[in-house]
Amino acid sequence: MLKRTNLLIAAVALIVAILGCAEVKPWQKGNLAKSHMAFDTDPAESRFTQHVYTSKEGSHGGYGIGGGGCGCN
Amino acid sequence: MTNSFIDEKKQRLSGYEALPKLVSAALAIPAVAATVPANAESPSEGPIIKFFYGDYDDRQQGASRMHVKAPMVWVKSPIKDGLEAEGSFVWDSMGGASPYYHNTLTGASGLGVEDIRRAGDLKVTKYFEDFSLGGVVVASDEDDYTSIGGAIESRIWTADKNTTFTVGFGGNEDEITSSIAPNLDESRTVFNAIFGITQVINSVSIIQSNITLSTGDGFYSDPYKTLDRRPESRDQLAWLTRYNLYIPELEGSLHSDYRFYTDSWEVNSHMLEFAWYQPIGERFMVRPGVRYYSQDSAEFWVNEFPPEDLESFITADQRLSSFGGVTGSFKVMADLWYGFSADFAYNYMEQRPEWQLGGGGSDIMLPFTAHWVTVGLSKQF
Repeated sequence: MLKRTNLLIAAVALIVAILGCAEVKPWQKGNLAKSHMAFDTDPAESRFTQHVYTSKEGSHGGYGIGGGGCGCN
Repeated sequence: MTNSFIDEKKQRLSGYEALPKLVSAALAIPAVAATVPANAESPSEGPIIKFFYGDYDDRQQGASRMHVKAPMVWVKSPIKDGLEAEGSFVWDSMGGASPYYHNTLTGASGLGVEDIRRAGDLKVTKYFEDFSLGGVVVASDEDDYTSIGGAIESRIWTADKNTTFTVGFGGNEDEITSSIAPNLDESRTVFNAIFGITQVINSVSIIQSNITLSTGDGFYSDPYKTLDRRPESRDQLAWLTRYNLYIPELEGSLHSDYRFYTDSWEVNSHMLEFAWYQPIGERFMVRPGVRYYSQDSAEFWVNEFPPEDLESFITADQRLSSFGGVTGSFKVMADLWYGFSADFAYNYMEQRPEWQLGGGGSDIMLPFTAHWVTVGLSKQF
């Protein structure tokens, strides 16, 4: 219960901090538009690598939903 | 990386739509791990097709255990009127055995296995002015494991596109059989959800934080392991935060990811990963990376085998023990001609009980190593 409360507090604090960021104008986003600034720069490689970790570790998740079931874990 | 690398030439100052977005298990019951990526505010500018090959091999006590060869094709393309389709198909062939149970029981696990897995996913997304709506279906089939699933996801962004909220819901139904237990015919149903936020912080940094929740009921035990009996439900929470920072002086970017995970089996884990993307000239880019992972064991993981209490939940699965792991990786990407690009990556992972955060892992477990290489060739039209 305490762990869940701490998680909730941390999540709310992060969201408040994120939403408090300064406004960035479209013409200031040139660097953000570079390919290597994407969160997932190579979907095929990501799928393979994440499946390695899903298969060899006891936890997974966070990257998205819609994945098929995995009996390996 | 490769596909986005090509996109570099098409980047526009008006937005950051350049934020677009398997090996099997230790035994013969792996499945697809495709996920719905979490951002982008417009369809891709043109079709992209990528041919990918992954080759995975793991070892324990100097001997090779599992080996997987995974050719894959991945495609993403705008259709019309704001519609975009993305899908992949993978054909895995795997052979070998799972990790040993304990160093005192070498050979107790890892019945030899040979299997072929065919898995595919298709996602269709419709983009509107202020939001997108997407649906995905996935399917995976092999000798003793079948999985089908689906999800819907919506992303909603602010007028300045500095903030994007993500919400999605999905589920899958799995059928589990066993090549060594002909009468086994079990199933598992899992529902999951994602809540996320992506925020442009300033002109050189962006952050994303996702929470995924899942609740599952059904068969979780491993039919290939002796005395393996797990609870018939599992609730999981993963909280992933990713921060990308561009360094103008080096023209490169630092990716920093942290994930906290907890579940109803009392497995808690921490994952911290860093990757550095460094363009070299007009056509090349390298990406060194390092990842640390640490987890607690499941509450029913047993250190003694066979355990005294045979009536309770039991597992000696290495993946549910306490351990830490480190992965090092290096990737090279090349932007070729006529829209072609190529990439190669090498990854080495090692897991040891003493590397668990704070020490004190399941020291009866043997060190485990794995390495995998990936090769990709893509074409943007």
